[in-house]
Amino acid sequence: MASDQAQRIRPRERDTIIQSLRAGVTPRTGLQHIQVGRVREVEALLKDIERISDGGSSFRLVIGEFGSGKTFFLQLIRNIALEKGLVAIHADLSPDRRLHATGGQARNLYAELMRNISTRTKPEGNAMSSVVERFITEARKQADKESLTVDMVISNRLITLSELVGGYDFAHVVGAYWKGHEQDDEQLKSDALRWLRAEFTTKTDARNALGVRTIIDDFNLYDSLKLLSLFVRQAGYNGLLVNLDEMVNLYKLSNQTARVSNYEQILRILNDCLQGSAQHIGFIMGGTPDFLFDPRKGLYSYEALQSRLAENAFAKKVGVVDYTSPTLHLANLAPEELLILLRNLRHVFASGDPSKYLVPDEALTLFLAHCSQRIGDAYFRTPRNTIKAFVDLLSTLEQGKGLVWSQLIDQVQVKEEISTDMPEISIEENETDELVKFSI
Amino acid sequence: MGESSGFYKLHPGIQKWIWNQRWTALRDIQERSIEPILSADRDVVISASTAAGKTEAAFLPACSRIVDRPPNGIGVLYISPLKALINDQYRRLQSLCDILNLQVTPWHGDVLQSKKDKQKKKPGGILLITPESLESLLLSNAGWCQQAFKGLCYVIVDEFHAFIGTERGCQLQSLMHRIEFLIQRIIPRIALSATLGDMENIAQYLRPSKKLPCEIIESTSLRSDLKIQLRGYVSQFLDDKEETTVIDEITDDLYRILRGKSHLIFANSRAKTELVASKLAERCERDGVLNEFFPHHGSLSKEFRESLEKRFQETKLPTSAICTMTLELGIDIGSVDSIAQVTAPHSVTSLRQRLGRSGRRGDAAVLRMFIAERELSDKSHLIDRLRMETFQCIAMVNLLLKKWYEPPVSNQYHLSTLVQQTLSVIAQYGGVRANQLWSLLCGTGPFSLIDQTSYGNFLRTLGQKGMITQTQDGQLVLGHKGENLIDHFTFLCAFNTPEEYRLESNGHVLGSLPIDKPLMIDQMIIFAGKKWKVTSVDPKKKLIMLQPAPGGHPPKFDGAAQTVHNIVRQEMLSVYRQGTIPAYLDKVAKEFFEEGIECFNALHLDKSPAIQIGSTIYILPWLGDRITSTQNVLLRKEGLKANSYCGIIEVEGISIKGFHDAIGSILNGPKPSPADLAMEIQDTFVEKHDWMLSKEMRELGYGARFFDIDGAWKWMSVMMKSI
Repeated sequence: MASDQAQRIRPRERDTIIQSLRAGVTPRTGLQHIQVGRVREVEALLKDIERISDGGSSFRLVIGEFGSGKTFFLQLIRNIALEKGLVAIHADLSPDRRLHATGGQARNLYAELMRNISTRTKPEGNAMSSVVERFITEARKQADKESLTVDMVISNRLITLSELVGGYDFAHVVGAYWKGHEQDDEQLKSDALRWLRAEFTTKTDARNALGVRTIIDDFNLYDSLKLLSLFVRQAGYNGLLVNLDEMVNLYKLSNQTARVSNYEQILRILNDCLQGSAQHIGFIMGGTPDFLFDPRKGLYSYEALQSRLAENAFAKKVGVVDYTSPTLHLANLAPEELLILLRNLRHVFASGDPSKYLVPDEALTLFLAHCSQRIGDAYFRTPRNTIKAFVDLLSTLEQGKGLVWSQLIDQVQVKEEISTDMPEISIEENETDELVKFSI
Repeated sequence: MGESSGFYKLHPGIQKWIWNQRWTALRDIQERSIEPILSADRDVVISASTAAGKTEAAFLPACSRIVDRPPNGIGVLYISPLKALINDQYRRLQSLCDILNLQVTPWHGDVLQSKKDKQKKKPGGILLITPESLESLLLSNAGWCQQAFKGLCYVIVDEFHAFIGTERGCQLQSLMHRIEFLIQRIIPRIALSATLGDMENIAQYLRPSKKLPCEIIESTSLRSDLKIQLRGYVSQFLDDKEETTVIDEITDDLYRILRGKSHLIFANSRAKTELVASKLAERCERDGVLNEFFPHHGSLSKEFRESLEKRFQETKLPTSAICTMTLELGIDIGSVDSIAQVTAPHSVTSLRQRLGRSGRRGDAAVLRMFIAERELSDKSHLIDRLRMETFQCIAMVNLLLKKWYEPPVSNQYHLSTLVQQTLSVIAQYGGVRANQLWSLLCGTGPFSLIDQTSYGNFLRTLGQKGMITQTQDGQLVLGHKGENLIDHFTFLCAFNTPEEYRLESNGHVLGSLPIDKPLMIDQMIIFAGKKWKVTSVDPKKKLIMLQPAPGGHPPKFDGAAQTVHNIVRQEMLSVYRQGTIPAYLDKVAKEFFEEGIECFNALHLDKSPAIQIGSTIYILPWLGDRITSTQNVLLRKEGLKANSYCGIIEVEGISIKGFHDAIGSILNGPKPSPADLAMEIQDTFVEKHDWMLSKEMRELGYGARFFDIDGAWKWMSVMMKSI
């Protein structure tokens, strides 16, 4: 989106972007200022978002190498979805957060999703109460317009929820929130929100607090998401976008039965979404090629999924990319694209004012050359650290007036990024690099 | 409690409990362990005999601390090798923890799920667990472990001596290390152990990294009652066949002496175990009484063994188990009235451990040995004439009384356990990089002998076997076979019940035998009173093909299946030299003793380490099996027809002069490494996961375990001068 270069950037947005990038995480806002390439992919997902708003559903697997920018991409789509009036929820999967489990891990995932629930006005998450509040406001509006009581409107609206699996209790809980609202019962309201956020761990507690017999638990994760999508519609949003990242954690599950159960959930979601039986809901799942392709442990090991997710053989033959298929492959950034990215970063740093650029174009090329020398082609394959180093460089330049960029570039430290689930362990002596580049 | 200073440092709740017990004073070790444990800044080894109050010595101060400063989550992690012991400790700790309002949770395969769930929901207090269950928790509930162990104050290991030098001990070291890594904090370890020879060794084994100092608290009251009897039985040997009447005699005595109480009876092979058990059961049936004798060995089904273990734990019925000697750690039986040995024990450590199971309730430990030796004839083998089985028993008892125990074989690789731990760590974290695995397990962990290059090769072999695979970003994850492996509960256990070899000759199955010694082609083994030559060994099927071998009468006793230590053989030599008859021998055993001494003196074995009888020479180094096995392989490599039984090396068709020349030429040649010698061995699959290693790695591990090149070299140099 290099065309946006002329546009000024608000200071708050600028600071958020810089802070996030320096910490090595994807910024929540202002992504459009730094986004590079992937125009077709963004277009494809824009269509998905439109479809969700129109009452349809979508399912996408975003597949890319470690560090290729999946998370960035998912965040970008999420931000677009928020702009388009959807509610977005997102979570990273982990050994303790899965789609299917018996030991509370699926509920953990749901709870994490609910912690991150965002709307356009609350893009940083934790928007559950505002969603519920808006539901009530909408009901009020309707009540005023049609001169009905709010109670009646709410119970009418909730009837549609009750028809779905587990909907009765869901509706009951929303009703309880309304009751709490009316009676100024803060405890009841917060209990209802806790229930909706899957924070109740036992049925007994839920029954005592709210009078419902079920809780959102491991086995009804997907059903609850469907209910939520319907609920956000009732609250006046256009639909629900569910972003699930780090799906490779399912691939890494060491128990085959557990893994297959999770894949079955994916299949169920995929079937629902692609057959159109789900409404106003979209799923984007980010994962590495291993997660998809591994014939023994990946999604492809599950026959039913393989046939549904297989690449469009015809498109491949004629050499085009099919952007409508449920799997979307993110190509790595090319070195040229990384250069544009650095330019964008420089632009953000200067708050969109070209006259305040801290370094000339020449410095960008030299910086990339320096990185390439340090860590080889990892500098553009996994650009996170390159970006981090560049932002650090710019920050240093900004603070230390009188510093000259050409003297700093050689001192920039870039580390090759390595992925692991285990904390690093340091040994004082005899450490050699023999196993760092290990391959079987 | 007037003069006890430690007592007043304890939490009032604990003081109250001690008053309730009506103890007049704390015992010596209990008093001395209060300060070191309360300070929680060092490891502690508490060593005393059974029933000296070790458990309280550890738990009183440990509980006191976690009640004073309640930690977040579990405060004390207690690891025990036996489920029976956990159940026992659970009962004992309950009254204490009731007063302190502390949660105690036993955690092993037989514990009710509801108890575990309670602990899972709200981790806290004391967790009593086996290494296998702990492995399982780390493997599949790492997230929970991180939460639950966050505030852990102590790790207490019971029966620590049972772990030393074993696969399971290595697993334990690795588990403790992994927990510390998981919570990024060093936790004081407390080991409860029987008194062992070199206490520094124990401290070293408890924390190889030495990151905390270790305080050793040894009981000063060394009194532990022990009653020993050695009964001799004469076995007839006619027409090259062993008479079976002797086993009837022995079982008659076993039945007469042991019936009505609970005992453990040890025999050397499965066949013998079954035979003794069935003969004892026959006698019960004959007398119309309920059978109380049951076999317990590796080929029995798990259900059968467990039901027997349950019978021991839960009922008051008298029960005796007849076990194979190799199944030391596999027997989950708490305490019994006495121990019976139907064959000579193979190590003092295991004898000590068995005795630890007897006399727990404060009674004296009782050991009875029922030893059959052959009636002598002019054809009798030197080993029979020396009555070596009897002397081995005596030597072991002597060493036991001197409180000497076999130190663990140092510099062991434990590669099989490394396989287990590698897979377990990968499963615990999901995806791990090779260098991290190495740093955790080898660089800072218990597998310090493995360098990065070897570990790389090791991982590649695991990759070839489908145990692990690598993702595109370089992380190691479990392969499909690795997954299946860890999915099964048997994976949690680091050791295998050793399998017996099946013996076949010309298509006939002869039987089965436990062999824990290096096997080479053309080597002799003794089975069913005959000598056999090994023609081939199939490591996968554990099958040995044999040919009947001509020449000479084989000895009855070949030195037990397991490795006998140098010091034991040295002690045997000094028993022969001194010739004092121990008091615990019965009449027949005394005769054996005298016959053995007579033979020893007649052959002047005191002075000559080698004698020639006919065309065969017998060399008596009076050294352990690691050296004699090494020697044996070296001689065979040199082209000599060497065999070794019972620490005696036999070489056929050679003179003493020729032998002298042979060792001269070995000494002049290059000194091989243990792994070089292991290349000569047919079957190097010993430990549980050895089949996942490359041949080279297996040989490395095998060599370190079975051979002592330096020892053999030293002995040969001495021999060169003395013969």
